[in-house]
Amino acid sequence: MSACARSARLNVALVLSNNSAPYREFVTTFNYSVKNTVQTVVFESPDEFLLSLDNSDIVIPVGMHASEVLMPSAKVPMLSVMVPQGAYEGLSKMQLKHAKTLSAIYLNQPWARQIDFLYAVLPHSPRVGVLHTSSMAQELHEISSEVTRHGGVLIEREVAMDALLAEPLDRLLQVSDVLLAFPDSAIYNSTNIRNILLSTYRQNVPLLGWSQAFVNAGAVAALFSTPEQLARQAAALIYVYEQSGHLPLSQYPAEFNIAINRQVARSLGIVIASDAEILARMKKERNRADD
Amino acid sequence: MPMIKRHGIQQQVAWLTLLPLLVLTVFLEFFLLQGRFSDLDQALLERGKLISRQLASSSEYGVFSNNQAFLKAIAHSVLHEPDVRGLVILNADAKVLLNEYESQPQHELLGKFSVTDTVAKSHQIELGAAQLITQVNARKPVISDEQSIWIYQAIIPTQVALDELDMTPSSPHIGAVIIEMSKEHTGQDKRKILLIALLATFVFLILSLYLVYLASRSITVPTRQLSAAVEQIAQGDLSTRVNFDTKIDELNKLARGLNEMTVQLQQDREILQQRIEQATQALRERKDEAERASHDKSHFLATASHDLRQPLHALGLYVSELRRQLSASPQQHLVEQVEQSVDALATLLNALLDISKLDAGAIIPQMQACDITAMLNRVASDYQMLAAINNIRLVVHPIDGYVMSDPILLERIVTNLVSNAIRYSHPNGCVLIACRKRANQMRIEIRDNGIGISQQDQVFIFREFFQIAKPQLDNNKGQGLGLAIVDRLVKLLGIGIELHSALGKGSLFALQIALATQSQRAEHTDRYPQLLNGESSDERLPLSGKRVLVVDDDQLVLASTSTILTAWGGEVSIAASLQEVRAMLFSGKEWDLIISDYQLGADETGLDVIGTVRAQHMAGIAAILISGDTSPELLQLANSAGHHLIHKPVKPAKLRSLVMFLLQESGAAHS
Repeated sequence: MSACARSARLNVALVLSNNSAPYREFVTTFNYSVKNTVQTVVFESPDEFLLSLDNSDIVIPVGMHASEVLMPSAKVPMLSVMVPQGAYEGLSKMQLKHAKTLSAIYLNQPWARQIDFLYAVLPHSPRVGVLHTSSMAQELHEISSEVTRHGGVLIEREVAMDALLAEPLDRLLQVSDVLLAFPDSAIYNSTNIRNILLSTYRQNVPLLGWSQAFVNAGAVAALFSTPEQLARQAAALIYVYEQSGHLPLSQYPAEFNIAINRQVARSLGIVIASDAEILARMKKERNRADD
Repeated sequence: MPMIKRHGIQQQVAWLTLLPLLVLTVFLEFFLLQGRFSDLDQALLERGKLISRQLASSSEYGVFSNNQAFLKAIAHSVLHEPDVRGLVILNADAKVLLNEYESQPQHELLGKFSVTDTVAKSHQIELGAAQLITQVNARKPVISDEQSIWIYQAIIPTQVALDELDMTPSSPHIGAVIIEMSKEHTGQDKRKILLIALLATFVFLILSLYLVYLASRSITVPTRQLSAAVEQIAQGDLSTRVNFDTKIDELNKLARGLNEMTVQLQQDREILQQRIEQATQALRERKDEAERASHDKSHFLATASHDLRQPLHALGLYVSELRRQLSASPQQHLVEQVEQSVDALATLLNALLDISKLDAGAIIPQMQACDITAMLNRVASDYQMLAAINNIRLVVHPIDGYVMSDPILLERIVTNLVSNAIRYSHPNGCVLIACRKRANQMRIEIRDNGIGISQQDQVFIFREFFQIAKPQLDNNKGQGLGLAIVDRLVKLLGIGIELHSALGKGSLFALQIALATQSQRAEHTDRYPQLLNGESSDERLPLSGKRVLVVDDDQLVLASTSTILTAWGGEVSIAASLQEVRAMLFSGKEWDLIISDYQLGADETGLDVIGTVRAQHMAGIAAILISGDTSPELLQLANSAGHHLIHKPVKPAKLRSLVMFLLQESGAAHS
């Protein structure tokens, strides 16, 4: 903090979980977006950072892995980016003494936005199904209240970690109009997704995902933020930090994209409004909710 | 021989060519077939893997959703794939989700238990394929036995990237498929390939064999020709040439060499033959010369003896008559001396004549059973007198027995030997005639204790005119022809003769004669028993009352013969020619006996006379031919006509015996 004041330039260390494309996109956009008073140095893995004896003013772990490695030994403020809210919160609970110097931009969208999006895409979906492995009462409650707000009902099913997915999924789909993918990698992973999607198709139930990849794989629609959007948000927060010497609280992505798989929609016999219309409906709904 | 040779070459060539070929073929085939078979196996395996991968991927959702109907549909389509015998689909816990087998009972087994390692181990009681299928797993994805291959393929879910930041490790497989691929078709294919390969090999070998046969023929055919040619040459056909044109240079060379060799051999042989012919010609000339000389000698002898015979014949007859007439006068002594000299002369002449006849082959032995006892007794009685005169003891030990021989010639042999023995014995000596039977042989031994014969002389004693020096016994020398005649006679009769002698120790002559068999003895007849017996009746008049025709162109002989016959009491008619005989016949004369000279001058012979007389009226009349000619032709002629031929000079005694024999015979025939 005093170090920041003394320093003319802010030294920012970007620590990537790995060298994958989204993280590099994040770095590119971040470097492009920050002010020239910010000096950035990029480490392509957390290990590289730990070995470098770096003395940056602030560290941005990009991705959950980098956060997991760096947060326990955090000496300078950290802004975790591209981390799921649930995982980050679980991690940060153990780092209470550094809580003030830790912040994050979540990867996932706020549930209200998600449910808004759901009803914007599929307005006639009274029963919203959610499958999860562990008890997530807080989030489920939030979802449930959002769904209820839209006049629907949340149907949630919990499956054991190692249990067979097919049967509970089938039973859930039988009573659901839409399946909302809950970010739980024990269920929604690249191994299972094809079969889950096939199950939903068979039951003629659309699936709402949380990334472009979900849509590409066959989900009918997804709401997500791109690395670029997150990078711009991170650059803005760094600017805030540079100016104020404080990191804002952890927050959801500010900007987001929507993706619709119209082919899947057609196959399922669903008519979906245009992207603009959907965004308009979401905005209208948000405004109505804020009111 | 050529067969074996041919076989050898062809076989060798065949072996040399075919064996490496066969080995090569078998090896090549083995490798090719092995490669092909493993290709087939590999192909089956690959196809099985492909099918299992496809099945795994297509049954992914079925396994995920545990959708039996869905899996069954997929399984059915897979079962339609060729060679797929059956399949099993397992879930992640290795529980059997689906078990499809083409009418195989194994699914029942499989349905009862799961196919995890531990479970499989606890179910080792299961048999065969079922047991194998329990052993196939991710660590051991392929198992095969003779009939099937089991392929294990894990069902790995298709990975779909959900979230570019998704760090979740890919989950393990959600199940597995096990496919059983039948090896049946592969096996059939293998058998077919094997069959084709074997067939091809067979055809190839047959073709090779044929080519080898053709190739070896180019060797064996010329070789056979060569061998045949060599054989022909060996048999002496030197005109043999080998004609073939083969591509094999060595054989051509060989053939050329052979031909050159035969040409050379032929030339050599021709030269040799010429030389032999020359030598033969020379020999033949020599032989002709010798034969001519021998013939000349024989001719000379015959002529001489004939010419000597005529007067001797007449002389003998006259002296005989003279002795009869002077039987009471003091000149009797002189006449006897003359008669002895004439006898000696006649004996010598007869001996010469005998040798001449034997040499000429004029004597044909009349083999018959001869009574040995009778013969030896006869000989003994003949020589008892002579022996007594020389004061020598003549002892005979005959045994009863018959031998096969000519009795007259055999008696002649014994006679000669006995007379020799007596002649060469000292006074007071002893001559022993003994017999012994040995097996089917009769051994007649004539033994003396006389002067003996030295070893050197034993070689010569059978030669003509050879005489042993006889220091103490000067008187009564023989002519030196006795043993020469014996020698010729034993050879003629096939009698074995042995001589054991030493100087001063006496001599032993042994004759080995075959004994007559019982059947031969049954036919036994001595030809001249009467003839020989008759000699003793000296003073009788044997011809009294008999009419005898004597024909001879020699007046002296005619006169002497007629005189002696008249003296014997006969009524004799004489004729000098056939003309005169005819005249007498015409005048109605008849005779009981004809004695005719053979040669009657001009073109007439005694045979003509006999023929004429017999033709006239006396068909059965007895006839005696007398001849100075000792030629075998004449003897044969006389024999064939059935006449008795005696050679000049005829001893009166012998003539009388023969005459009496014939008259008795004809008398017997008439009565």
